[in-house]
Parts: sequence; C-alpha cells; structure tokens
Amino acid sequence: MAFTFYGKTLTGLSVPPTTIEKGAIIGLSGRSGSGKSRLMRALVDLDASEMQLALDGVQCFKMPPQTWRSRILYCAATPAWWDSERIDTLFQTSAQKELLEKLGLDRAVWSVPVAELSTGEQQRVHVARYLIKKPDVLLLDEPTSALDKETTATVEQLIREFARDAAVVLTSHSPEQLDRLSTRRWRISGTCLEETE
Amino acid sequence: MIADVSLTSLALAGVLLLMNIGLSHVLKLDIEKQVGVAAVRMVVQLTAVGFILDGLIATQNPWLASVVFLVMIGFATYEVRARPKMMVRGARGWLLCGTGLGVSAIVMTTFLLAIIIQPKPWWNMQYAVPLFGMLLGNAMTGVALMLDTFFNTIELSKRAIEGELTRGSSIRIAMIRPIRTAVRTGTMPAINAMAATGVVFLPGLMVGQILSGVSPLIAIKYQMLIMFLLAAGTALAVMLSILQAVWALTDQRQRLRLDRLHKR
Repeated sequence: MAFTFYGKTLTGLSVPPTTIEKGAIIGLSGRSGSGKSRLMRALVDLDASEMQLALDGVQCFKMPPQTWRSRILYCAATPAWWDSERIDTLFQTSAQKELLEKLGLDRAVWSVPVAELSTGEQQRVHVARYLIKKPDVLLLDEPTSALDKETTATVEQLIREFARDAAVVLTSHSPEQLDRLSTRRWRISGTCLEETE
Repeated sequence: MIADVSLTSLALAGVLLLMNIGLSHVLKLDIEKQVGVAAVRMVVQLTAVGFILDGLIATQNPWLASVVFLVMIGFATYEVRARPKMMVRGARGWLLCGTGLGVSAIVMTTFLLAIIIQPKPWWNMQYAVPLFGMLLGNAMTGVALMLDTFFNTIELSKRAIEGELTRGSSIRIAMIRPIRTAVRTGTMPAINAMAATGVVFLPGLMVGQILSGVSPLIAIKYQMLIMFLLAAGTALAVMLSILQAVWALTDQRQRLRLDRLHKR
C-alpha cells in the first residue's frame, strides 16, 4: 500500500509530494489553528481542496467516495452522536466487544445513549469505532485529549498494533506522545508542511 | 346559493375587533397596532383578491389564469424563501423553494379537475382558481416548515453526518436522519388535519356546503376528496423540495457543502 499526495488544503497549506506506507506512524504537529485538521479532511476528500490524492497509483476521483473513505479513515477530534446511538448497537462482534473492555468501557454503560456518557468515555467509544475497521490509512486527530494516563497508554498500544496492517497519521498536543509513537514526523510551519528528522 | 353578507353585518363583526383593541389599550397589552394593521391588511388584500377572482371567473380565459397562477407560485416561493433562518445561496435557493410547491399544485389541481371533478370545460375557473390557491397554500406551509427544520438539523448534526462519511457511509445514509426529521415536520400539519377532521373541527369548505343546503353525506365526500389531495400535494411538494435541498448541500464527491448555506 502506498498513499501519495500533494497540493493545497482549504486553509492554503502547501503540501509537498509525500508518500506513506503500511507500518508508518506519522506524528503531525503544528500550532493550534495551523490547519492540521484541515489537512486530514483534505486527505479523506471531505473538503473540496486542491489536493491530488492517490492510493496505489489510483487517483482519488477515479474511486467512488465511499470506497476512498473506507480505505482512508479520519477520526475527528470531536465525537458526534445521533440521539439514539448506544454502544451495544454500534459494536456487535465479540472481537469488537473485547476492544471495548480493553478500553475500560464497562458493560454498565453499553445500553446508555453514548451522548450521555462522560467526555472521556465518549472519546474512547469514538476512537474504537475507527479501530474496528480495516482501512489502509487511519488519520487520528487528538485521539487521547480527554483521557487519563493509564487509558492513554492503552490507546497508544492499540495504535501500535493497528499500525502493523495500516499507516497511521496522528496529531496530539502532547509532544511526548508523538515522540513515543511516531516513526516519522511532520510539522506545519507557516503555510508549509515539512517532514522533520 | 348561500346568502350574501351585508356590509352592515361585516361592520358589526369588525366592531368585535375594535372591542379587543379597546381592551388591549386599557390593559396595556400593547397589541392594538398589530391587530389593527393585520385587520386592515386582511380587508384590503381580500377585497383586491375578490375582484381579481371575480374577473378571472367571469372571463374564463385559461391563458390569463395561467399568468395569475404563475404569479401566485412566485409569491409562494418568496414566502417560503423568506421563512427559514438559513437558505441556500443564489438561484439554487429560489429553485428549491419554488419548484416543489409549483409542480405539486399544478399536478394536483390538474388531476382533481380533469379526472375527478370534471367540470365543463375541465379548466373552469370557478373550480380551478380556488382549488389551485388552496393546494398551493398548503404546500407552501409544508415546504417552509420542512426547509427550516432541514437546514437547522443539518447545521446542528454536521459533525455526526461527517462522522458517518468518514467511516465510509454514502451521503444518503449519512443524511437520512435529518431528512426524516424534516419531512416529518413538513408533513405534520397535513397529517394532523386529516386525523383531527370531524372530531376536533369541521373544515370551512364542508361548513360552507352544508350552510348552502348540500346534504352532509355529500359534503363529507367532497371533504375527503380535498383532504386526500391536500395531504398528497403537501407530501409531494415536501419531497420534491428536500431532494433539491439535499442536492444543493452535497456534491459529486459526496461531501457535505454547508459553505453553500447562508445564515441570516
């Protein structure tokens, strides 16, 4: 799997020709408001940006949008739920339920509307919805911002395991977390994306 | 035929409103001006419409009537577009407000005249003009309610919709809940009217027929006919409009395009 892209995002960020491959965990840093989320939105074709995107040489616009967004997933920073959504309807197989238990989501909260759970619980359910998929690339926007140290460590371990079969791009306001996880680093400075190290 | 109402009795009914205005003044309710303006508008507008309808029915000219129908669709479109707190920018916004109710009123009126009532000639103005107005008015209320709900719901659930998209769902699946909510709201008045007719209120058209001597057993059949057509017409207008609204707020790459929405 090779995901290649270049161009400009909606916020005017210039992205040089870049390739990412299976097994990579890319730590993306940049100041708040520098366009990290916009870059991720552009990569999943959620923004009408001027980015050229291709997976294994096949250009994005030649694929149905659902196919593109199944192969490249974007887990946004803020979870959002429909009124009726509950854990036990969102996760069905035993492997999926095992993941929830690993994340410390007690069975007691499975039948409660997710929108009524605590911020940290919501974030874990939100991230889990993407971790149960099998994409080529997973873009994680601040996946542990509302979690305690212990749960953060669990999520980090899950991210490492996930990256065996996929590429992961990760943003975080914790530089230490990016140091712990990343195999490559990108930084947004001004209006340019650059690879560091 | 039902007896004419004399100007004296009209004035007498108007005095009831004057009493309200007096009461409002004494109690400092501060609604005198609004009530007064609304009453004057009603009298002026209805007088004008009365003369226009009288003229139209007298001439029996279908071409002239078509022009009047188009002007009515124009007014209805303007009203629908003015109602919601948000609207799609540009010509698309006008189109999605107007085509649903226009097409629905034309189709339903034609169906009612040509197939069911069959007056001679089928476009007889005495039937065509009031039926068209009634169908258009109901469709207008439905579409305005639906669009207001739709744009609000989409704006509120933007993140949830994009969440669905980022897990590989199609835009249709991602938007189905706001679509359902909006269609339900838009068709609710028509459905409620059907459910409550006869129990809670007797519709004006039926009352008029009974007052003018028609047997209630015939009047109820006319009423059923009208209710079917009103509900079907409103639902058709609402559905045609929401299809266009969805189309206007999405693109070929199945993105949510709220940048095309203008807040006021």
